[in-house]
Amino acid sequence: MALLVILTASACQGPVSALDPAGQGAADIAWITWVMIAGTLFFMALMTGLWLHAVYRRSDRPLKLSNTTVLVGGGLVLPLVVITLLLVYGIRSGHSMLPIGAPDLEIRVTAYQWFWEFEYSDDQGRSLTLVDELHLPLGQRIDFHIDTADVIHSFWIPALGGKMDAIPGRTNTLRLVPTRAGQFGGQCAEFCGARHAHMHFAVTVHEPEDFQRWLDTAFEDAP
Amino acid sequence: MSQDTTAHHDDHHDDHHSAHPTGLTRWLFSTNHKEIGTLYLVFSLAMFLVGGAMALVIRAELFAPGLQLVNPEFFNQMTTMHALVMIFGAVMPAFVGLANWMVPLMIGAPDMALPRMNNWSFWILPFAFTLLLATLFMPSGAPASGWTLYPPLSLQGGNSLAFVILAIHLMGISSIMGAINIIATILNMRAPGMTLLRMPLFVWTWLITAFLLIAVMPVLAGAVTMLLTDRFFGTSFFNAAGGGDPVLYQHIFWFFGHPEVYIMILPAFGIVSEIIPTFSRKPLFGYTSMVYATASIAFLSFIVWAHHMFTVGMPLGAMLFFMYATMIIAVPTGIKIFNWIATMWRSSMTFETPMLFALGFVVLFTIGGLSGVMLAIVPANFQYHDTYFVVAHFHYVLVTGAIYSIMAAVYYWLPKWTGHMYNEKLGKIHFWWSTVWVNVLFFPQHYLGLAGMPRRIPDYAVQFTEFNVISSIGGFMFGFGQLLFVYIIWQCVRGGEKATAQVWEGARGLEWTVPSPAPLHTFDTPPVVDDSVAVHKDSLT
Ligand code: HEM
Ligand SMILES: [Cu+2]
Ligand SMILES: [Cu+2]
Repeated sequence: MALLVILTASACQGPVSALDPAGQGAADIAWITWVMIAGTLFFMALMTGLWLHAVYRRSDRPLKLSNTTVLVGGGLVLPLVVITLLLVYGIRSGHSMLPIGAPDLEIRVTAYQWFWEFEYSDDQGRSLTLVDELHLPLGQRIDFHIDTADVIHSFWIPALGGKMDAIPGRTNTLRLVPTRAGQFGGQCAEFCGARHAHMHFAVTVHEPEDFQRWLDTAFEDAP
Repeated sequence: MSQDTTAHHDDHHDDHHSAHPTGLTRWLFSTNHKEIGTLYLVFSLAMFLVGGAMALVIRAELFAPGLQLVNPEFFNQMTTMHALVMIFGAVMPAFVGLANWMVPLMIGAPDMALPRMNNWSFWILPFAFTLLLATLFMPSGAPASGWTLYPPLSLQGGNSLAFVILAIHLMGISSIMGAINIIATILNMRAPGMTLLRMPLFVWTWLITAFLLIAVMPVLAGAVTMLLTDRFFGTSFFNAAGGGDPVLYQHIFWFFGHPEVYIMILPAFGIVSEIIPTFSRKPLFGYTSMVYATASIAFLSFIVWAHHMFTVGMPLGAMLFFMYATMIIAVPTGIKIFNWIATMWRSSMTFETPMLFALGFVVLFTIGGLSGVMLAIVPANFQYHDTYFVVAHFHYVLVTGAIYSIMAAVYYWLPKWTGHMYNEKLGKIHFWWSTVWVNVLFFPQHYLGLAGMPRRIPDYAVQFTEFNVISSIGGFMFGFGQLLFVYIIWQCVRGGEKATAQVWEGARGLEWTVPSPAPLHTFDTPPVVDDSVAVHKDSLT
């Protein structure tokens, strides 16, 4: 048991952990994950309890429940209540992940077999393309416009939020809001061939001023 | 195999059949539902071992981070082939084999309605799998784009794609013919008095499954044919540059794919609903509600497909629809689970191997169902999708669900098939060994997925090492444990304690009224069925 806890903690804190959130989307989802795990454990405990009762009580104590109570209660009311609650959550949280309201920063993402290109640009017409390296400002709404040059890929920074596919012929938009500065890992999440496992990229989340300084220098240095 | 012994017992029993061919032709030309059932089951066992060997290659590579044993290209071929072999070679033929053996026995029919077609539906399969497995030896290698064959990736492979598509067509034809046969048998061949609502639940779930098969196998055939023409004949159904759309493929594929997963679980529900009442010595609780629950699951399975593709960029409204529809499936599924528990309630249970596997099914399948509900929650799916959490989910529903139910069925009916009792002690060891290690194998994968490990990768970040090591150890232990299963079956076919016709004290139904082993020809004169043979009650007492 202790071993399990240690193992859990060690894997939790890696740079690509979705359970160690550093973004609004990821935090939201990590929260519902814990709630659902609790719910799942509760349901499994209920089932196991009923089951053990069924096994060990045998025939010596008559059952008070009627058919309809068991069926309607366990099979209908319980699941309906649970899924209604989850639906409410889904609508609320789903909205928070949509690109609603103007973004503070927009980045064009292009996936290739097997690397990523990230393109920054500003209103003075300066632009900058990075490969497998991403810099983001803390606390700002960032929209990623995701596209691919070949097969389907999926853009994913587990610590910051959910993934979004890069699909030929479309541009998908993903909104992320980093909430903690630091180094994170990103990776391709849609199987894309031989080097899919190695289609990583490095993510650095800066304080906003640092980010602006970095961006200005990078624009200057860009060819 | 098991029929060798049967044939001997059979001679004195049924003289005019003693001219039955022997040797290879006996199996090649057989139109007998029991022999064909045996062929299906043996084939499925062989494919289970082949697919299992591929799984062990995968787990061996994942034992440590970095690339060690195999190159990524071969690793990807393994993940793709493992899935195709297990789904189309192991699980589906096993269920068809069980239907062949048991449906006529359960409804009091002398054979399947279309015996010659029955022969053909089986004998297509060895050809289909020869084509599929031959791709492993082709210069371009086996398909490596995942069993879902998503374009454009799947179109980048070599010519082996054509072989795979042809193999899938053959499997589809085989499944459709099998399904037609099962429907025709159930609707036309029932013994007098075997009304629809007296049919055993295994027959009911197969009837509904057969309709699902007929509805969706052509959809799969259409999808892969479009792949074929895109790859070899210059069309652009899925080619964005030519005006097509790769997402269209995903919609078509999952319109087949989701009902397909229910094709692999509804017969399992049926099996468990046979076994639990037998060893609880009580009729199944809520029989009619089970039938309706099965039918509504089948219906709902057509309107949830897009829960496999939430991340392609859908409107929120569409996502909420698919999310809600998916979660509604939890309701009829919950009804089933409660019915099984209610059947056990206040009963005098015993725990022979079939019952152990059935109970293992109830508990472990529920874990898979619950992780399914977690996956269906839209924003959460953006994190879980295409991670090991999905891998854990579908292995709980398929290995401890579908495969456990098949093992339960084999132990349950093996005495009826062979005329011998299997070795109960070894059977129990098989169950406990499998159950411990299958959890060591798949439970940590939930955690890996939640922490962020993507699926279909031969190499991973070092933070995931510990759980992968545990999972691989579980994989090897579980895998080698299945050799015991093969041994137990072999031993039981060869000999053992003689089985009675009844076999299990609490068993009800027509299949237990014929001798063990079941003679080659049964119910030549139809039995008359009343409530004393098929007892279902909708009350707890
Ligand atoms: C309570 C019922 C179930 C629910 C709510 C459910 C939900 C889901 C969801 C949402 C996914 C998509 C995960 C993703 O890729 O992001 C999924 C995947 C999958 N499910 Fe289920 N599921 C259920 C039962 C089953 C059953 C009974 C089976 C099979 C016997 C099954 C087999 C699969 C398979 C094979 C996949 C993965 C397919 C792939 O991407 O390769 N599921 N399930
Ligand atoms: Cu990829
Ligand atoms: Cu599905």
